[in-house]
Amino acid sequence: MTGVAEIKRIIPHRFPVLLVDRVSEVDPGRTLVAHKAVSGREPCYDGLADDADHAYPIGLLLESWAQCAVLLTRWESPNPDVLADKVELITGIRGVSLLAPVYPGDVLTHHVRLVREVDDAAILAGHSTVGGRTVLEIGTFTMARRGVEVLRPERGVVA
Amino acid sequence: MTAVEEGTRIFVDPDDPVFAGHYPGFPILPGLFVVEHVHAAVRDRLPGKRVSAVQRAKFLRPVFPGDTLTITTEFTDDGDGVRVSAVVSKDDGPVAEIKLRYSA
Repeated sequence: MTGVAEIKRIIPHRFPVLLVDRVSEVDPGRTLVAHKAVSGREPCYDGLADDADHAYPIGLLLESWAQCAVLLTRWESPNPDVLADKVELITGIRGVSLLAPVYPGDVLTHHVRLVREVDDAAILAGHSTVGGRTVLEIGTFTMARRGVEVLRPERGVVA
Repeated sequence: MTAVEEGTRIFVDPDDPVFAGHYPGFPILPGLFVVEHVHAAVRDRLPGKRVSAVQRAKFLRPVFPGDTLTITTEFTDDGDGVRVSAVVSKDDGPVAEIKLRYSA
């Protein structure tokens, strides 16, 4: 069982957007299973109206799964600091089914499968469950690695 | 039904706490947060429906703190749901193309 301290040694995401709590199974280069407990104390619920829908935001749900994808691809080549290495960028996602809303108190189990990895690009797929029920399916997730120096917004602008 | 909506504008606030953690020393908006921005821009116009699919999203360029995003959407009724096709742009061109589906 791999907890947050170990996860932080593998991927660069940090509070308040480190959205993986624990890794329970990994077959490097192939599959990973990880968990994320959704809490009503997360920043996304701050200031939300009492009668508002408290479903976990889809951006955070998908980002949580995506961080597991990065964990799998970085398992044997950790990248805890993007300034010292490259940064993973999502390039596309397709075939995503949002089957049921996720609420505070739910524990997400993310399943990630590496479909293909070539040079600085990877294709992954998978799904997520809550209490054994599938809540999310990811048809195809693609990402690329880029050096931060080629991405910096001020590049070429600042004298 | 097909309807095109011009321009919800979103300022990517550099003070948003997200940037402390994504990433330390190199703030960049998670691409999937752009999907959330599109969803937030359209959901109130689809009462009684929930987002049921991200059919496709392409992320063309990164989004940085201080950027202003413009979201242009097109709604298409497909019978028992509504498809939303969105283009998210900065002043100098598109950063993402996102297709969502909403159903009852």
